[in-house]
Amino acid sequence: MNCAIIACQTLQDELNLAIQETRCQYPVIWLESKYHISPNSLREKLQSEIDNLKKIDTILFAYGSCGSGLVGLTASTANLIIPKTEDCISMILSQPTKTFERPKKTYFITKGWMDSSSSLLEEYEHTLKRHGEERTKRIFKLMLGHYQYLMLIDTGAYNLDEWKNKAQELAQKVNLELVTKETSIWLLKQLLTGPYDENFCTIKKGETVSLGHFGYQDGRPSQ
Amino acid sequence: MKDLNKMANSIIELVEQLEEESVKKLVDKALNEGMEPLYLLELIAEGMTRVGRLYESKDYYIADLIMAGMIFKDILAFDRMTPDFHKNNTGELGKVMIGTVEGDIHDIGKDIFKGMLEANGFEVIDLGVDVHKEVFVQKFEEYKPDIIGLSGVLTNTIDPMKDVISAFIEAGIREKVKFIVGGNHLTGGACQYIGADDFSNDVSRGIKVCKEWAELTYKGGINND
Repeated sequence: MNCAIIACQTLQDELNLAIQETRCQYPVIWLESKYHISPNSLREKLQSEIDNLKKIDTILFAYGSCGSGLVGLTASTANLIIPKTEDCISMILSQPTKTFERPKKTYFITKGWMDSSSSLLEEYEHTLKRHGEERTKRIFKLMLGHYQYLMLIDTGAYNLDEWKNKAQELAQKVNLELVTKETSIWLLKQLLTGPYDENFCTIKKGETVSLGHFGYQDGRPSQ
Repeated sequence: MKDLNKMANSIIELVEQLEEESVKKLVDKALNEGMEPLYLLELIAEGMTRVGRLYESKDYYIADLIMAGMIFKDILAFDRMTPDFHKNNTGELGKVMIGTVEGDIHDIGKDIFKGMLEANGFEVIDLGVDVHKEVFVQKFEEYKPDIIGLSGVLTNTIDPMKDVISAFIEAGIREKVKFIVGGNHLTGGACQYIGADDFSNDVSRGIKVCKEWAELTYKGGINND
């Protein structure tokens, strides 16, 4: 079976580790992190990548459905396998066989998020440069006023100590309390190897991704 | 008239460029020269729409969206805005209750929506963020709004939004109120799943929908008991 992976660059460290540990040899198409800002742009870009693929049977998505950005994609050239998660946070924080509960009042980061072009750190630095210190304080109070924690997710895919210092600096700038949480990349590894069980959406060639694929059937979501 | 037109264009551009102090100075001048406050708010809203487009095209950051919202609130708070604001804000168009649903603490879009609703003649009750479905039901009984706006930025707010509407069905009061759901991730399919009457990905559309509903019954509110 010929497979290709379409991946968000934010997950680069985690996916590369998963590829290494599973000895996966599928080609990877990396998309810049910026696309997650607008679900419509993300959908458009992903569809274009799907449409351009040739001689591929199955496309594996290292993506959550951020902003429902994957809903509406058409499997025009191959089958699609998508983790059944609302976004990449739930993808890397979830644990096997346990229902995911998103921690409250928490802003989530990894090295990949801090490095990305749309990171909180970059947001802060841009704001300081464009709007000055006093307005930056006002803006960030509005942006993060309901948040209490900055959670650095330890996926095991990057040097935690190095990035913990940077995260602490950021936490101080934006007035949040830094916490860390250890997690694993089990879902990404299973994306590369299968089996494609209830943790994944399978969209056959010719079909379109719907909310139903993510479990939003009539009534409660399927577990 | 020419001067006011020129000022109108400048106000839109200055909002787009996020020039807070310059906007405030020009708005002050425009009001002095007789520009209607509601028209002024439409200009600010147009500027904010342009900011939204710049954000979508990745030229602007989230902080810039917030800055635009701050400018909007600054203008709403102008002394000379408030007499007309209060005149318009008799709630004659209807009562809207809004809240960010359970599990989500984002409120920037909700707050901008609130400001525009009030400026357009709606009375608004804001329940805040992370609002449980039962609170929506309790507060409906207390305030009897015509419209309820459910806000959510996270993709996983689809179910909490549906839960709110299910709670209203269970309580036998679904038909007494219109629901609009707001958030960038929402689609027609999501709206259908949730069971809302309409949805919006941006403030302008949300206001348009609420005003259309208000026109259904221009006196006595949208849902007559």
